[in-house]
Amino acid sequence: MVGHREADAARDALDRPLERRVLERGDAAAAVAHEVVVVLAVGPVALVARDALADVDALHEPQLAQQLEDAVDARAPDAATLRAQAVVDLLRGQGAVVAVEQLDDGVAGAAAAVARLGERHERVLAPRRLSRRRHRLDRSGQMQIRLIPIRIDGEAVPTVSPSPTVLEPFQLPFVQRALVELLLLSVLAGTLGCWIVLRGLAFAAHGAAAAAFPGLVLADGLGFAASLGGFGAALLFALAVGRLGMHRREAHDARTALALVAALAVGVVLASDVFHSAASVESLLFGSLLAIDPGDVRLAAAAALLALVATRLLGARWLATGFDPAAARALGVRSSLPDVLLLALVAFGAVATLSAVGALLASALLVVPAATTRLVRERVGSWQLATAALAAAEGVLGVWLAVQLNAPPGATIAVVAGAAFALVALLPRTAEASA
Amino acid sequence: MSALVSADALAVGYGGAPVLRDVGFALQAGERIGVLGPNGGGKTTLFRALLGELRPAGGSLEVRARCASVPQTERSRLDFPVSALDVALMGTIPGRAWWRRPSRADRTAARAALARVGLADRAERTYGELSGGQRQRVLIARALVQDARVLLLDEPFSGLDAASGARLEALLLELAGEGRGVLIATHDLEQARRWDRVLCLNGRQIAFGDPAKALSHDVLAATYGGAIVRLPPADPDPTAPYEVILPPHHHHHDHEAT
Repeated sequence: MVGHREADAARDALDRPLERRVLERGDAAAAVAHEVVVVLAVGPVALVARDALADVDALHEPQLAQQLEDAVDARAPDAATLRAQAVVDLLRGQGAVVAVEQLDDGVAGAAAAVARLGERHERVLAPRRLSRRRHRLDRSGQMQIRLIPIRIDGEAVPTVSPSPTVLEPFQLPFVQRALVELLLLSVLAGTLGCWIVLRGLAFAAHGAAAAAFPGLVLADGLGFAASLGGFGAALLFALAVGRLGMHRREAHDARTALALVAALAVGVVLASDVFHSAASVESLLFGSLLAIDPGDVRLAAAAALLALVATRLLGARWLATGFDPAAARALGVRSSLPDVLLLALVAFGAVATLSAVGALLASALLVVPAATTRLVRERVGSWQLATAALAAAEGVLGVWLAVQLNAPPGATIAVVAGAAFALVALLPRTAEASA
Repeated sequence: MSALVSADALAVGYGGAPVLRDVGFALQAGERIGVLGPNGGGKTTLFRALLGELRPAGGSLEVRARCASVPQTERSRLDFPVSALDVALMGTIPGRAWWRRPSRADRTAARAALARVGLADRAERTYGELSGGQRQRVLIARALVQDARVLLLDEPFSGLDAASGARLEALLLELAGEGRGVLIATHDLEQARRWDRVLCLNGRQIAFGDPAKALSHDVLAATYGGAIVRLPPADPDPTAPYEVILPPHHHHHDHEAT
């Protein structure tokens, strides 16, 4: 194990300077000699190596001070190396698990000193995708660290910056990709999210994301594009169930709940008993933001663009229909096409958020930010802008926290979004007081 | 001058048997017609036929001017993040291609309509924060933006205080004076007596004409299904007997089902 090598190397590095001060070491001749003369070193700090044969404790002779051995810490002695543990705890790598797979580039043996920041970039590759296509997790559902690239020498390391900054996680390429994904999704949250909240589609959006889950499992098992499978299932759900919910919510909630539970159950059964892909269930349900691939980013970009265009073209109709459906009909909004397109967009948006936050946490992006800013914004335009900004801020903070705490990013973003909602909801409402 | 709207032996329904039949009336420019009837009597159905949402199942209906509906304010979402101007701008939807956004001319028209109903200074206020009377006038402005010569008002006075009601009534008189026709669905018999004509509906047309003549006891009994209570005069020297009409399900406002 690399870890053992590291630990030994560290001890060697520690021993070397110490040996210069050891006055006497094990001498093979002493084992067979009739008489041994031992010269005691008098001094409070000198260490005696605890070799088996030549070690003499002169108990009857007083010493000036008790001599304790310094603990040989199983850590790298170099401070710079210690700070590298912000990403991975190097020496306890065997026991650590991380939420995402971190693969090595295959040249971990190189011992040349490299700049600390550069080392991360070169040695820790962006994690590969865990699920959906190629990789399988082990039975525990989490990927063990397979190989941790580390420095195994104890030499002084040239540092790029005098101390690590709070922004350091954002220099990792897979974190940067996650941020791009989140910024695109915050455009989606700002546009589509507001329509979802305004039209009472929050539950339908949650249901559509959950419905995408069995679609993803099917796509995985049958070998067609994951986003296609997810979108198909979500669209089916949104059109079948969401349509009714736009106008008559009361009778409809129970049906949405029923379909949602059915979707989850079907997905789990398919994953565990049909396709035996149960291990990827967790990442499908809760996302794998730090393991997204460029295809996910493209999907998010497409969803954001669609939501922007649709808002511009159909926003007035969505608003009028939500405001008063009967009056909207009288105004000539008789076609149900705008509403059908809204539901299709909800399905597409839900699928686009899956890679980031998963089927069960899609609401953290699609609903919660818009619901939060709705408390303080009174016009659709400013509401959408505020929602996009809030979703972006929550996403960035969530990723940063997730990297710092080694927590799952999707859930961390959801917690941040929920906390933001609670904070805003508890704030005294100045707008209301003045109105 | 031909009528803005004329119906003859009109029957309207939702696919099955007509829920409203034998309707024959004419709305002239400058006229205000009170439409009386119980819930489910066909008031909303008539309005939907005038708006073109329902096709006549029989008879004829001629609508020679654009009709616009002014629904009850409680039917709209008061929690929506829209200003009075936004609501008035919804009136520009029918005249605009679906991919276009409101133009500068649309905004000017919406502001002018708000000014017409006396709400120029409330254009930027959130709709839900306006008073009931103001909201009703915003919805009238939305109808005016559509350049409608026929306004169909559904219970416009319900929930209004006396001052707001008087102001709304004055506005309707002004709009009629501009040559518009106004149909006002109402439960308020006393108010209906002040309109130019009344149209009594209960599944069919019971009466149409001058309120003083049309609103006879028999007509009211037929309109409201006999739920009329004649109160003994409280005044020792009454000038007129007092009748109270108790429409069935007065607090049930589900017009959607009619």
